[in-house]
Amino acid sequence: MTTVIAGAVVLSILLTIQAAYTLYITVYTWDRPDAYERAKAPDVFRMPVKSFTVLLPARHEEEVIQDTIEKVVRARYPQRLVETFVVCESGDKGTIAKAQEKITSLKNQGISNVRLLVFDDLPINKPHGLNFGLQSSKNDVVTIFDAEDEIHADIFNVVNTVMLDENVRVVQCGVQLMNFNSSWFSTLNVLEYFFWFKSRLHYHAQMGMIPLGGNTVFFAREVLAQIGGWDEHNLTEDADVGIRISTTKEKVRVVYDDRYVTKEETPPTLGQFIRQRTRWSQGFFQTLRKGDWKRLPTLPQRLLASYTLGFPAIQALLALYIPVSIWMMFTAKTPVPVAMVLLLPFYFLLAHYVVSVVGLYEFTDAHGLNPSSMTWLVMLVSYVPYQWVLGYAALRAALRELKGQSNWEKTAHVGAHRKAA
Amino acid sequence: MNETNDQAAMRRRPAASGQGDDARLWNLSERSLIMIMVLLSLVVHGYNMFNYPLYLGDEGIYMEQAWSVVREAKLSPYTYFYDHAPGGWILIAAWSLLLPGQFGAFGMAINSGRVLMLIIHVISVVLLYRVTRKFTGSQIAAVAATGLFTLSPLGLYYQRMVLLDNILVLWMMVSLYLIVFHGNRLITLIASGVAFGLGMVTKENAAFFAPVVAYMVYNEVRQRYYFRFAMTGWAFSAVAVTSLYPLYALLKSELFPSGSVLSFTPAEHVSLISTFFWQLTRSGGSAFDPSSQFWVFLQSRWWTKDSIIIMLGAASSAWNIMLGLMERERYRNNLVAGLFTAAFGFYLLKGSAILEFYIVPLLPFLALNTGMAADQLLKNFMGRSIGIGFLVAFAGLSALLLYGARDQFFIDQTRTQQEQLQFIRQNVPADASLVIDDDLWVDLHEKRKGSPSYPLAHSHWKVDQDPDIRVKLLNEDWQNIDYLVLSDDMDQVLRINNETVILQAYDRSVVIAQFEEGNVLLQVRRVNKSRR
Repeated sequence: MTTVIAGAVVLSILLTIQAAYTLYITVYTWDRPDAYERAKAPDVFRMPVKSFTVLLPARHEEEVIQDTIEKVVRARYPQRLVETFVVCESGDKGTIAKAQEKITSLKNQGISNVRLLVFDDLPINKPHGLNFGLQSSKNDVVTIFDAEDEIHADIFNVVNTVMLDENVRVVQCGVQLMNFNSSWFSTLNVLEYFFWFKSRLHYHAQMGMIPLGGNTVFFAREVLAQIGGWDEHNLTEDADVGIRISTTKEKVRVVYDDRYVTKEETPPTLGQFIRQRTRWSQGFFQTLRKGDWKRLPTLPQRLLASYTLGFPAIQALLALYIPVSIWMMFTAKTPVPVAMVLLLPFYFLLAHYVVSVVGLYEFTDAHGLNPSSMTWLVMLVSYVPYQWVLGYAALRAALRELKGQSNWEKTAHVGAHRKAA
Repeated sequence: MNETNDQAAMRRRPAASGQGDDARLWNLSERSLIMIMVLLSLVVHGYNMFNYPLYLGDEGIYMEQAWSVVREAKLSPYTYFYDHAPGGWILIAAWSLLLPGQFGAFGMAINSGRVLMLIIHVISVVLLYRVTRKFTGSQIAAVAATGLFTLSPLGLYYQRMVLLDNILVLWMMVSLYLIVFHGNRLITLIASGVAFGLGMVTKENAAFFAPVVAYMVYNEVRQRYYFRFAMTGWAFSAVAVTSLYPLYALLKSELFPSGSVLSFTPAEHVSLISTFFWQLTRSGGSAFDPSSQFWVFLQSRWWTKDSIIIMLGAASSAWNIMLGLMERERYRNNLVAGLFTAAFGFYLLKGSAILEFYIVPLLPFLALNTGMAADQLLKNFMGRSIGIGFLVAFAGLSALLLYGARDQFFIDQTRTQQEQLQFIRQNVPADASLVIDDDLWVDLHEKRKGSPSYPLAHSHWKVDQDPDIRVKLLNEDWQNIDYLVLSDDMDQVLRINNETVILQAYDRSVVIAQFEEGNVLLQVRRVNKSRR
């Protein structure tokens, strides 16, 4: 029993340290006036100079692809400086038909900078589509939007200005889930995005070790060429590409300005959500195992990389720790100081919850939304179950990775954020 | 790129700017002024501090509880019944662990606690200086406030003693300092909340400061983009640290009263909540009752020691509150300062049971308010000769204060207690059963080379009240007591509290040694068992 208790104490202290650290990077932007300033988009735009290639990888996106294409071509940026590639796999007849239909109708309106690219080789996944699109791109900057993305009309102006003003070659702009009150887990999911893009990524950028997001990320084309594009065998090719770019000491600029975020939706069902999380967690494990992060120049960067990529494992551990420690407190007759140590992670769990509630008000304020007066209560009740869901997805990912299953479990999109907007 | 107003505001250095320049004293740098105040407080508080005042029983209690933390890994050598939160003596215990000779590092055990109090006072002086300076931008205000704080005979008397109230003052000043110098960082405000929480687990009446400190945080951050995180961060960390105290009780199954539904153990036990309600029922008399503890202490103790800080502090606080209420935007800091006095003054006046040294947490705020008001007054009436005017006022007041505190420097009272201890060590066998006051507790229990220790020396409070001692150890029989070691006026205390068993022993005892200094009288008595 003593060894069990000693182990629990050590585990509790480690979890406390990591929880404190995670909490800190969650509110990093609000703690650092300089980071807060840097997160902002420029107030005045420069003349359009940079040319953009937009990659729109789409698979079974019949419902939303036409809207997305429309959004991209209506962006406030000279048409001649933008080319848009809708990238589809040849078997996906539905999406191809819808995309083709839209392209034709645009051509009739005199807009001819959208093309459909169809690949028929394996693997059928997003990174392969991206690499395929990259081969045909000619413009200065390559960017990715997902089929369900609601992009801001000035996004190219923002990036053009930032790239020119600050002489950076990689820019990650904010992505924000919007439908915070559509299900019990959506509030917490929305807030994860909020803190990830608004705060945590700035910390990563500052440290020079940044797992990039899957869309609204802008690369100078030569940067992608230099690192050889995306890894087609990785479930989180976005995070992976970020880490490989970090190993080259390339500076990454993160812009999270509430006005210019790309709007997305949370997965519609719990099952979808778990599949999405499983894929992300497994992708992180793959990236961790692959070990490109070992080439990061400094030790703090390597530690941060392994911590970030291994985080799903910690999440699973945390999900297990909660019931086990509660059980221990009631059954094992532990000395009072030991029991207090075992309770420390709970203080931080509570702190994370409180921070989430504050974040909810920051988020809804920034986007002119109104949380109901009971949202905090829903969050309180769902907070620990949400951690369990994340932990479950992480365990599932670990099992899949061990069994060598690495097919892509794709998330469905129904356009909830668009109906809401 | 164009710099936005926000950026400019953020870059502007918050401290030492603006109105500060017109209130500088003789071109002395901030650092040298602080050094002067530090040296002044070191000398005034340190000189003769082992000799005066007499070691108080309460000092002994905190030292023995710190001793218990270090030597027994417990919060008290007796049954801990949540009379106070343990943060204060845990700090003393940590300090003792750092000392080479631990409880014997400076001779008598209480001395090592007094050294810690000196350090705490000096740190508090520096923090008070910085806070006052930031509040007003004026060196005059800062020097006046710290001068009054460190020279007040009232403060000098109590701040030398090992009291939880002094430790509370430190945490309060740390908390305030971190708020005014938060430098746009959340982490500083969270640290301030932690400091406030440490104040709470040192002495619970810090709670009366809480609304004012929260208001102060609000004032500092209300128009900042991190406002929400700052407020919740401060409050969360303060509450989290505070909650460790009830959590400890809960884990020991001593939170809820024994016999209540929520008490899971069948046995009779102490309880934090019972003690809390018991404290509530202890009345010190209403504010409108001239014989209440507050008015009695005010007349008999506080006013006679130092009427100046009380008068000036109360008047300045009222003045500052008035200014703040009339012109909130301009005099926000005055309002905050005044409210600190008002909040704790309310606590002292509201009629709960208080002890004479409960005034201690009020002192820095009386000084702060006086400094702020003095600065305004001098600026308005002295014009250019402000430096001279201030110097004259400061010197005059200092002389007055130091004269009022002269006993502090020239009288040796603790010599009697040292002699009493010496006598016991030489004449009383180590296995004897002693009833003592808490002032000598650690010295009698601590094992030292060359002198006996007395494991059976027990505090008369515990002999009277703790069943573990009165019943289990002494079997409620005076014949099990061998010696009575009386501190000053202890025989009266025994009678007032009707400590029966001890009084029975007292009546059958003879004086075997007596120690006097001025009106201080200590005795050692042997209980004569042949007389029934």
